[in-house]
Amino acid sequence: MPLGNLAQIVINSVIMGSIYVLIAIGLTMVYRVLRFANFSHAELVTFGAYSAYMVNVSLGLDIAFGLIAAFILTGLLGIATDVLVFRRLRQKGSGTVSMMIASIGIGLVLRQSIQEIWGPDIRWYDLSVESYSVLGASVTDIEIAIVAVSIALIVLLHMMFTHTKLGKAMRGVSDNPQLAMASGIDTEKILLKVWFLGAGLAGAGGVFMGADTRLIPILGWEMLLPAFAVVIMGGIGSFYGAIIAAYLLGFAENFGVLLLSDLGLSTGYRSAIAFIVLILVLILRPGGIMGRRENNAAGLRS
Amino acid sequence: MLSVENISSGYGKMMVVQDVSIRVAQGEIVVIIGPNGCGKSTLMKTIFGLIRPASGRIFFREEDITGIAPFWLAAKGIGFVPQTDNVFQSLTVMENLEMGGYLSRHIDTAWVFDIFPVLKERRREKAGSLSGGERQMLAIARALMTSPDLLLLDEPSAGLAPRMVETLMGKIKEIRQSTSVLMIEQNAKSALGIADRGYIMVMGKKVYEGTSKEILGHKDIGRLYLGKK
Repeated sequence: MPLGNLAQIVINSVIMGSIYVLIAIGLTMVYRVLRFANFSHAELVTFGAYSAYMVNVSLGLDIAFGLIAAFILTGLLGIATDVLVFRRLRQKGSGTVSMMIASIGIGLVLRQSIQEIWGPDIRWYDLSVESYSVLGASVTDIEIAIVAVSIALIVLLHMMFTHTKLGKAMRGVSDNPQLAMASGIDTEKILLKVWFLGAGLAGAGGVFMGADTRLIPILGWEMLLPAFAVVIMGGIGSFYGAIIAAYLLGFAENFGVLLLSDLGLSTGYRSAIAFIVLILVLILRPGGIMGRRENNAAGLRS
Repeated sequence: MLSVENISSGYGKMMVVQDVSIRVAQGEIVVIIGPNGCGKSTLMKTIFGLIRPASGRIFFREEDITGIAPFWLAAKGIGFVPQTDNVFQSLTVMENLEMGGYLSRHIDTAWVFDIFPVLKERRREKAGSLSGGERQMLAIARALMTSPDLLLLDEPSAGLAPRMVETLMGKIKEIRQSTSVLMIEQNAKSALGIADRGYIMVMGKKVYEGTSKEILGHKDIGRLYLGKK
């Protein structure tokens, strides 16, 4: 294989991994505290993408402002879903399945609303793209920005989790909510901050996906299964596991597509790659890459 | 300091605790003993606001605290150490103490490390990697970080080796200088050894109360609950 092709695949893998990582971390953060799979996370991704569209295309501002707006607006939408739906279910003592089904419902409502507002047609951001050549492969400034911003966000999150009072409290609440309460931590308040960050990251992931490809109302929905695969592969609820798994999946998909075309198979099998990798990882490590023992299985819903 | 008045509490319609009243005075160590399933833990969870009582009132320093959320009670000066899951396993020892001191502006671990030197040695390790005894010490240390006026301990010696139980009781005696203690214990004899007074609960009801000496010396109680022949 020519070096240029190899470089291109590596670059594409890193870009894809950088998008997956933001979406998966948001998903895993909410899971860690509430212990349910939030299907409406997909639509938070889509909502983020379209919020940036509003700022970038409708208002005519730079996509950087779109990204900031997407993070904030999607973060607030995440809080709204909790306050309006999940918190009420929690207070009624609903189980994991009820929460999950409610999240599917929220997802449907959001997806259809987005389609109602922006229509089903494909849309694009207003970007002036500059292309560079690296080792015979081409990479755009947008793609460089995607990778740089993702890595910066991961580093910031790591610093927050390990060095700030809020970050440690978030870890404390997800580790043991009752004990966090006994320590004087207002767990509901911390939870809203987790929602804001988790949803905000999903929104940012949506903007990146939209900038790298295009905007459609099922943008997030298409990303949900790979995102779940990343979360499970990383070890459910594991922040660092999700980071490794996101990039692993990015590489597996891009090299897998190459393998498919070499074997003369349709690249339509691309979406199966995530699950093949997932299954392989789980056979080797049933708890995921950084799987941890489940403690306090009820989480905040107790 | 703490006054629990005619509390009935439980889960749904089942009243696990029935009309129980207990008191803890300033500087006292008080122990609640009784067989498994007698409602001791439920009573303690009710005091700490984790379960809302069906009837009765709870006063802390003359203030009605019935049904107040746990994190407010922590702010008011009540520390609680649950029987199980009483440390943040994925956090380091130091981070556990920081969580304990969440409400304070300034985290002062020196005095807690004075009482539990072993925690100082292991402060960078994950709490999940500690031994059973060390974990109980960390659990108590975490609760002490708010400098509580009253510490609620739910079976601190559960699952510990006999020698460790004695060490732990010694530590609890040490901390009474700064805080009153209400604890539940299966190791009734060791607990009564350091306690001032005790209550005995059976089937959700308080059946006896007295000084530790009275309880240890009582013929029937000794035979029924303390395993004396």
